[in-house]
Amino acid sequence: MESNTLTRAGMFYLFLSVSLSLLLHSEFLPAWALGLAAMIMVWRYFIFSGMIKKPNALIKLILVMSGFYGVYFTYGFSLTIESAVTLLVASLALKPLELQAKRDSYVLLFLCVLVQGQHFLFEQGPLAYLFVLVSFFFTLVALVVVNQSSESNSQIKMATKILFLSLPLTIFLFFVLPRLAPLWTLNMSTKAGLVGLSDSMSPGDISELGRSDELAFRVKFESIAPSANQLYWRALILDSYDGDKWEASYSPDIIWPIVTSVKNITDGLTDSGKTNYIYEVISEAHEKKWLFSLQGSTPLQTGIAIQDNGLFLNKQKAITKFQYRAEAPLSSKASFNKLNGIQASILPNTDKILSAFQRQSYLQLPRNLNQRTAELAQNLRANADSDLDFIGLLADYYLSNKFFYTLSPGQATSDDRVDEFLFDTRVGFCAHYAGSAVYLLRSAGIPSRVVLGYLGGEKNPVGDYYSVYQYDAHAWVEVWLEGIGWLRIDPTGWVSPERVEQGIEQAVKQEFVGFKTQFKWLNDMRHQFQAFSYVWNDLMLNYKDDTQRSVLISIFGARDSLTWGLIISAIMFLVVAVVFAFVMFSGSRAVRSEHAKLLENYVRRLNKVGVEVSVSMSFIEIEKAVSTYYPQSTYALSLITQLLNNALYSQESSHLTKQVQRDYKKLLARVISSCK
Amino acid sequence: MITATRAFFQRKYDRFLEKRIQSRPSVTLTQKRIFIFPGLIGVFYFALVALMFVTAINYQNNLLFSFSCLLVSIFITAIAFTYKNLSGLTIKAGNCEPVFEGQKATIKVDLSFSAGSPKQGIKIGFNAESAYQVSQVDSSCPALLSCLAVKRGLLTVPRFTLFSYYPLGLLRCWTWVRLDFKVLVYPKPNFKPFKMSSDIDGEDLDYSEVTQLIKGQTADDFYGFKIYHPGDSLKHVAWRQYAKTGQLLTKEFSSVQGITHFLDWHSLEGIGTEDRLQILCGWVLTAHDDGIDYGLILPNQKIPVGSGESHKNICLEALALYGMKSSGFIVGAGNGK
Repeated sequence: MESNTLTRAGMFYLFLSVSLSLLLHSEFLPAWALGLAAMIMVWRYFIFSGMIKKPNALIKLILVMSGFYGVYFTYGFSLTIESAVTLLVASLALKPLELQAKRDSYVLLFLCVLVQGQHFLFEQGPLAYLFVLVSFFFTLVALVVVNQSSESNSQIKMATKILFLSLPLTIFLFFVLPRLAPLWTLNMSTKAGLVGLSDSMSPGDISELGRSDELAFRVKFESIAPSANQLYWRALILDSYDGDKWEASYSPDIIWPIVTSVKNITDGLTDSGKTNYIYEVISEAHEKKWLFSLQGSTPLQTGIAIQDNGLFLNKQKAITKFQYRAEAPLSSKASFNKLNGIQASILPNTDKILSAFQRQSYLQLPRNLNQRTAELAQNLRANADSDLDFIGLLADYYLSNKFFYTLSPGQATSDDRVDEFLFDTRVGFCAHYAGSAVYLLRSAGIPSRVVLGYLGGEKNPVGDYYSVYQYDAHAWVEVWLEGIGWLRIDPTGWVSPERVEQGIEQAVKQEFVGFKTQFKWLNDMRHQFQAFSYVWNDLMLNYKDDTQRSVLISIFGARDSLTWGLIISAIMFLVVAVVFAFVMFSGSRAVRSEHAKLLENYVRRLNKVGVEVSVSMSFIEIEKAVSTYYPQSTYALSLITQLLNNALYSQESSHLTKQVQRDYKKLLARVISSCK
Repeated sequence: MITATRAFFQRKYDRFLEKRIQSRPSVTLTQKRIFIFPGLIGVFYFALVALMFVTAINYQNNLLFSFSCLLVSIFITAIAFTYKNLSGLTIKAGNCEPVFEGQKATIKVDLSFSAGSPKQGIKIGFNAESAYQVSQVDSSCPALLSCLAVKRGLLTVPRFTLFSYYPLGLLRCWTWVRLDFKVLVYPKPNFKPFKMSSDIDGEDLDYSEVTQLIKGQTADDFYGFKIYHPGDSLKHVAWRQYAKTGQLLTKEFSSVQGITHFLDWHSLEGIGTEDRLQILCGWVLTAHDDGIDYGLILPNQKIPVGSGESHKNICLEALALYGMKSSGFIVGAGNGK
């Protein structure tokens, strides 16, 4: 392959392709990478236009080293997807300077494709897909420009054709190609500083989440949905308190249920004729193993474990979006009423016995801290007839003292965090309330635990699903009552009923970070778009494994793998054949010479003004015919004849230059105006 | 070992091509003649796609998976487009100027096609390394090749290749063609002082005598002017008159009566055939340049005395094709203008 120097158009589309690929990643790319890319491209342009000389090897080396240093400076030696992509981007940014031969353009464009593909590791929305397709389109255009003859101008048309004719096969491949299991485990995380719950709770963590409007997961109920104040999405249980942080230390037993049949709503009828809640969660990538579930849920697909505390656990870390179905029992009103008007509900499907080890874990407290809290617990205990009664007194305590719900309670100053909160500051959010309540309960000898998860969610009326955002993160309490089992209470709800009943937006108002607008239409539009991206998630992101299998079986029926392979190959062959036939036979109209095209145009324009001429005449004959009717146009006509005869017959190739065409148009306009 | 094997396959391939490609005046490319295979860039492209698939699988990322599917499909669609770019192209042997042995002949190849969109990025050459890109083929376009004329006669133009990577550079689409070019190769002129034989008395005149004659002639026998015609010797153009009047005139001389000059094969007794032809060629050129009327005598042919460019061409052609099998090429009706 000999080195072809780039044309101006080639340079333009190459740079466009590079810029678009870089912009895709602009959100996380360090500013220096973007600046470097811009600088290099301007530099290369100046070299192209001959204003600056090509840089020598030393300068190039310095640039490459500074690129590496930039990556190291930004990310250190940690190999994350970001640092890897940034390294790629840095090379993409530096490469244009080296752009000389055709081969360099290929390297550059393939880097572009790679960088475009990497975008899906970060973003998976429909808009992201559109952006990637657009930038890929311009990469195709650049590839065509590099390969076509320099005088050609048909790159956009060609790239469009290639892209669109490739779509049928793409869609087919996407539908039938099997999704293999990961070839090796990846420890490279796709998002650094991912926002989400963490497996410990110290005051501050959740208030930080309260300021994030990122989506945590979406959930769709196939059955009726529980009321919003019942949507306690459990994710983690924290049992161990060290005076500062709540952590999970007790490792529960895990069972891996195997689900054999696909369960539908009608199967979920309970004895009383009511259906259970069946719901589907599409979780965003959070890189943790835990999943979100309503209390007492059982998974409706294999591969998800249930712990003995009722929580779900995934086999692998959720590094991409993850979808699962589950079924939860209806919370029974009967058990609810027993609780003397306290906002609480009994957890279904949990063990009725607490082992000694569990009891010990759920009573653990740090020594020699929070003396005042312990005293308060003893006082309340003395006044309470039962554990249930104690909970009532606890609720009264929170209600009668002026606690204030806020996302910014300020820093704790003493070691006795709970004392400080309960008796001095009395401002805080769910973590404070849940933590202090468990402390009080445990001090009174009642086994209890902090639950981390999300409460509520925004209902999308268009798509009929709930979006749960990071600011919906919540902490609440589960209490063990002898003979009854685990009971859910929410101390935050005692202090700030709005948080539970209406969601966080109403509870914190000014501090709310989520989307808020006075305009209904704007919110409607937002819902529309979100509903679309929900469908997108459902169709594009989750079309694999079971979903793919069932779709394919529903179309082609269940078959053995050989027949299966044959069917797929036959259809693929057919699709390719149709595309090939289309390419071969499309646009195969006869080529007209420049001469014929021009003559046709000339005759058509003259006929329009009422002169009888035909394409069978020569230019001179036409000139004579027209000038007999319109003598005043004779001069311009003779000029046209001269121009066209010169242009078409005197040169080796009958290629009309732009100048000739422009002159022809001008002269023709003169002829026509004098004919009128 | 490897080189030997490669050479072996190269020979096999050459023989295969030799058999498959027959020489003809023009060729239209159809699927029988078009080869298509991924180029080096295409192999890299596949590595890129493989990398994408592995990433998609390892991250269980469906969007990246679909993007990889798109890349595969693009490759397959590119096969059709790359093939289409060459198919339907008609390659025709163009008219070529005669050359002397040892010179480089300029071979004109006419590229044209009858239907479809313009052919892009086509390269032409006797091999891939020396190929160059011709401009976009809009219905028709000439391409020039350069070929060393090693032997007098009709030039055998070796097979040449046309290939293109258009539109995406991933696939190489090529063909090998051998066309019947009518390129005359004149003998290499050997400028020796010449002898001319007179038609009438058979007396030989040597060079000095002839030039004497000519000199005398130019001095004495100036006859008048006639209007210059292309082909008239520039030596006889009346430059002085041109400077005065702006009209090109040729001086006319009355020819020396009774002497018609023949450049005679038989006067070069004892010299090899090729050498004789080369000497004769030199004589023809000298005689032409000096403005002498001359004829040519070859063992099988006699060209009467004449002058002018076309006469010269007829003589040179006779020399070029002397002793050749007349391969459908009619002597005398050649390429002379």
